[in-house]
Amino acid sequence: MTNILVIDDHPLITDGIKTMLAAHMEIVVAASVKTAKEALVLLEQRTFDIILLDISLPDGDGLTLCAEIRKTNKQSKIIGLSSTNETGIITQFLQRGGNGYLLKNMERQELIEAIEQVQVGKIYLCKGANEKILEQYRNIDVATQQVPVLTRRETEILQLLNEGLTGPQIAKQLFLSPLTVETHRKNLMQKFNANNAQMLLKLARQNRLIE
Amino acid sequence: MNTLFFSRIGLFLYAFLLIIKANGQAGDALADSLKRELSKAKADSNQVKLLMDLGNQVGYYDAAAAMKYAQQGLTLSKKINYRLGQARTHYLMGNTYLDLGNYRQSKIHLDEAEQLFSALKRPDMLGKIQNARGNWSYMQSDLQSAAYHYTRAVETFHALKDTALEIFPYQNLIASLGETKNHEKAIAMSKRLLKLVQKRGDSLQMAYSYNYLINNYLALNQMDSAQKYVTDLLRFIQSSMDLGLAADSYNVIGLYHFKRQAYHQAIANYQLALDKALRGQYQTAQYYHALGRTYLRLNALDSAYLYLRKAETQALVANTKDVYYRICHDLGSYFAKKEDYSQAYRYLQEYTKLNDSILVAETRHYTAYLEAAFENSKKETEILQLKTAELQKDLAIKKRNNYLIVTLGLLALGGIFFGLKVRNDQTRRKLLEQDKKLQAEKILSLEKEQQVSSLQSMITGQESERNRIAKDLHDGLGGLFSTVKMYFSTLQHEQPILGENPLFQKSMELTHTASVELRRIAHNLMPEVLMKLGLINAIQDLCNNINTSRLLNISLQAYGMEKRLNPNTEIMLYRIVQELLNNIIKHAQATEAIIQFNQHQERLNITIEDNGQGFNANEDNTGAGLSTIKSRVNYLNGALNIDSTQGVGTTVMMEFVLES
Repeated sequence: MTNILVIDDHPLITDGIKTMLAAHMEIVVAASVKTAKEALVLLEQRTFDIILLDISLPDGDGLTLCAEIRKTNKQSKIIGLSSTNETGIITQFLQRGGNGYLLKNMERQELIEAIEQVQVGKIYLCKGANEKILEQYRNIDVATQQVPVLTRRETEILQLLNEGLTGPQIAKQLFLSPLTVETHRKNLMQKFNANNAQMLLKLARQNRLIE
Repeated sequence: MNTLFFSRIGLFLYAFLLIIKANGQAGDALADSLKRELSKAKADSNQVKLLMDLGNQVGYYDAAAAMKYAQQGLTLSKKINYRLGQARTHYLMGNTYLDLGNYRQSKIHLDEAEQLFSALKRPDMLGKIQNARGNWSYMQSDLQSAAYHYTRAVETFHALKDTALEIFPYQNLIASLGETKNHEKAIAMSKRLLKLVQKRGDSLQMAYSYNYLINNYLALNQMDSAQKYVTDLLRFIQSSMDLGLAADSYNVIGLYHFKRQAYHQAIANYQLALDKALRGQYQTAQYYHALGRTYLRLNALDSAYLYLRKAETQALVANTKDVYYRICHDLGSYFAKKEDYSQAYRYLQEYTKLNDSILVAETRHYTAYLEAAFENSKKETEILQLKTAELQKDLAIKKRNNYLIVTLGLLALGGIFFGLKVRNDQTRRKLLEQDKKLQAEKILSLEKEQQVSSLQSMITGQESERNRIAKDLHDGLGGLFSTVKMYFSTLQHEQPILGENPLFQKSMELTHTASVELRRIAHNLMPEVLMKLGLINAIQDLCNNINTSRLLNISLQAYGMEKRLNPNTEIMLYRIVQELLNNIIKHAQATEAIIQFNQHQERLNITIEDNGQGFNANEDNTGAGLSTIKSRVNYLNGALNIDSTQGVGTTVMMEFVLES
């Protein structure tokens, strides 16, 4: 028998989950609470196999509560319930010890599948969430290559710096204010994590951005 | 049509200049004595002050003369390099040109004054300039900008803890509310303000409140409620010296009778308004129009025509669209009654044209801004009441001393310069003026360090409203849809045969579509990730969504952005980036874009670049999108630079100084 705790301030949602699981022999909604505070009090007294946790609660957000629960409770599997499928939220939830993530407009089959999956130690994500997370990893891949992408102005200024021109000279040549050139130069140094112009040029050469 | 019956009440155009409110005669006497004083004064800063006093004094009824004195004052202050004098004269000229309907000149002088006053570190004057800018926009029916400036004025005075001054722009904000047909709200605000000014014993401000209350009740056709305040207002006018307000008050009382269909009483009151009118064509155009309209009702067509024509001339001279279009309406009706249909058509066409441009311009939209502005300033005013009560106790003692000193000084001066010609009541009013100035300076010196907060309040109001709606959608409707779907899927599990029923399948599918659609709308209103995880995460999400859709390939780079920014700033920046990306997708035909954040200590640079077709950044027709971006960047005190080359792409650079 799998015991479930539902933490959601919306009584209709709790009711819907109970209805979906009513006919299931193995899974039972053992308790439901509406606030993070109630949840923490209850979890001190009882343990549950699965916790279905709403991401937005009236007294704090589910991300914080998830981390809070994980401090003392490593066994229960926590599945996030949310009405948004924003990647940032999903990954944060998993990082804080969540085991799965479901959108509230799920169907019965999906809920049961999620419960079964997390119980055997797998991470379960709703269909939409999976795609989004993959997309994010693709982007992270790009970012971890570490070569900054340059804007057109930055490329121009980098070239001229390489030709040995000074800030004011570059400003004159590109019809920009010296202040703007200075801003671009600062941005470039920050992007390459360089302390001075020499180091900037060296790193840019290494990355074949200039000759 | 309700708007035709909504009469405009004079704004506080001169209220900040003229602290003495004198009737015409006393005013002349004072002006004379000032002139005499002037002829004896040397060419120094005192002379500039005298010129300014004169300008202020005559400005109420003779704008041309005021302009002359101001011009002299300006020349002189420049000669002796007296910067405060220069600033003051520019301010006076800005207001006078505004009164004359010369908006271009008015703006030039207000700009000059603002520059000088900010160099002189005079936040109180900067607040007054904001109020004047509000009037500037208001008189051109740009109520959104008017509300913006009034709010800034309120905030400035609020930061200076100067309730007396704060009330002025606040009243003007109420006037703007009325103009946007938000009568219930205007009434509620007026009542609240009335309580405050009653407590302060400020009878002038009480009269303004009565005026607004009557006007708004009339617009709602609540005659009984209006009547109550008409009595109060009449009592005030009969004892008041303030002619400008008296004229407006008679006008509004006339309107009351007009709506009761007591046309002869209406005419009597409008005539009184006309007699008292001081402020040039702007006021007289209104009153002539009111008279013409009333005669039209009485079918006295000749009189009606006479007055409407006068009104038309005056309105054109004053360059005030909002009065003019109403006149066009009635002239149109007049010609229709005369069966001169070609003229009637001409006027009605003019009316429709102006009516469209003035009123249809998203009135509702302004309302949200106005309300937000109010909600924010209101809360603070309540706190302020307590503080000023304390200050006033302290000041009461000083006040008595001041009375003594100033009385002695003035009596001596009076003896030398004007002898007995200066009447007692003038002296008393002059005293009051000095006293008020001292009071203002006292408060000012106490709170010199106070910084003026920016216009965040309006935007914050709008964004918090969006946030609230998004929450309501998620929690309310979203929950309902989800639950319905849960029931459906349980039902299908219990009655497997339903799975083959197409109607049932369709219901379930539609419920799903509805909940997805709702999620999309709520997300656009306020992305949850922005609230919970901050700007860069939210923009990353935005980019992911766009990249997935293959509309554009965006790379996001963020340096030095580890710490979260102030929540309001984050929302604003998010909206700016969102709008810029929208523009790129809609217009640029680009395939690649870069978004780059560079933060160096308190400076933040944002660059957004695309490889699209580019556009001519100098052309004016850059669309609504760009102008919202500009105004948002302005709100954050940022600098915006657009660099676009046709065939190469567009680079938008923004720089902000973040508040720590």
